[in-house]
Amino acid sequence: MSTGRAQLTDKRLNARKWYSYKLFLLILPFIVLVFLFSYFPLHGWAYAFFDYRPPFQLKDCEFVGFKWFVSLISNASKRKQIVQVLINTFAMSGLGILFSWLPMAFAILLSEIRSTVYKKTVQTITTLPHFISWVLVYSLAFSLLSSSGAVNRLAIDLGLYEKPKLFLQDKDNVYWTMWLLHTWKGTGWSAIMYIAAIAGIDQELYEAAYVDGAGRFSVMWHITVPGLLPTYFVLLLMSVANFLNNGVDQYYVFQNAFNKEKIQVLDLFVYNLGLGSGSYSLATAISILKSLVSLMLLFTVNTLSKSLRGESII
Amino acid sequence: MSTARMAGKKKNTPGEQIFIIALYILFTLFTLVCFYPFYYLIINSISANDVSARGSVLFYPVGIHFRNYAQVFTIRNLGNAALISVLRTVIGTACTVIGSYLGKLFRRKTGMSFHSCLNRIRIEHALEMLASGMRVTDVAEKCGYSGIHSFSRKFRELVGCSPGAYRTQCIKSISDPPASV
Repeated sequence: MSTGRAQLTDKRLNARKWYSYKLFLLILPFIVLVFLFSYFPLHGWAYAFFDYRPPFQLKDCEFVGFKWFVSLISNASKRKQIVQVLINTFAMSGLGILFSWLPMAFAILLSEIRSTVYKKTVQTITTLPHFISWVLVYSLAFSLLSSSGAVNRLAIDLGLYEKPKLFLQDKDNVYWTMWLLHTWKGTGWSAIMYIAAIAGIDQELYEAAYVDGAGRFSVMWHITVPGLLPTYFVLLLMSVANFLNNGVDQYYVFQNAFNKEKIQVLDLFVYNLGLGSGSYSLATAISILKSLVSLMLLFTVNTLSKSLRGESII
Repeated sequence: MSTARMAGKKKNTPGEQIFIIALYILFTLFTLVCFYPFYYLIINSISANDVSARGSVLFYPVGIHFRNYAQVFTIRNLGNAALISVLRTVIGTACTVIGSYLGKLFRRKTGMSFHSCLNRIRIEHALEMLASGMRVTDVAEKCGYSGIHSFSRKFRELVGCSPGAYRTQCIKSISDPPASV
């Protein structure tokens, strides 16, 4: 039998090349999009190496090299502040990762219920909080949790305590409060992916298990959970890679003078520095460091995952 | 979900019944927690404003009025903002609907879904190429599959044997012609 190689004539080569060009043209708009929004703005990193003062143009400002990077660790109080910010970031992201199995448990337990109407209702209502922005969540939280809000009113009427508790000004439980809000908002939405994955598990496995005499819990633990683990690990990988990216929305709306010290995650700290007090160059310097650390995190975790589980996302 | 349906074929043990009841309670609680803030917002927006400000409206509206909603329409530039939001939603939905409509047209004309038709065509080509003796890896590549795994899985689904087995079968039947006619 003739091998494939001998069959490659000039006509075939040309057809192949034309096919590759067509594929490239198909993907070109998306490459342009990624370039415009992710790589082009990187030219702003130049601002970190100058002493940028806004009315002046960048070229008129003094070039200071690594002054801003050094200033982050030169001062003792600056160091303390950065360490506290990092502790906040680690705590918030760490809590998120620690409880990342909640949506998976939600989906698995929801699939144990027989009534379809109940399941659909629960799914619809619990997905509602995902669709409102954090600003609206704050106004909801304010009307419910402020000193004259529903929770305090109810608790005082029921006699649980005398004076209203100031939930939004509490500075000791900030991490838990933020995590609770995040869970309230995101569990229903994240569970959708797992519910879809459960529907994709081969039914023969379940039938075989029941024939072999497995009970409800064994089936859950030995079939459903392993079927969902690939999805879970991909999402976990992405969460770890986004460890430093907490986002500004949630923390910006909930910050106030009382909890500011504990609620400032890295992104919010950079925002307050840059757009709050106008130290654009310093804020840019911190952003550069954050991006580099995030990249290193991503590649480390990716390599770990490839060597431990054989799967990776890059 | 099949798990629940399967388990329903036999009676639930008391432990399982307690488990199911606990699940119902938990999910109902969480659903209420997700739902109550929105309900609270709505009843407060239609209640008398001074009663709301005092925090007295908890479970049902007091002194219903719709002046707040009437005032929404007096916001400046509301029309502009609404137009932008509506356009974004409409264009996005239109693209999705057109895509699925094209899929449905295809199904009506050919009698099978787009994906099954595509797979059929690919596997038919693969059959010809395997019969001509090409290597399985080359055939997978030429038929547009990303790798030999996805190709052999689809092939096995539609033909019933693995591509390698089919290929050796074809080679044998060409070199050994059938004994009886």
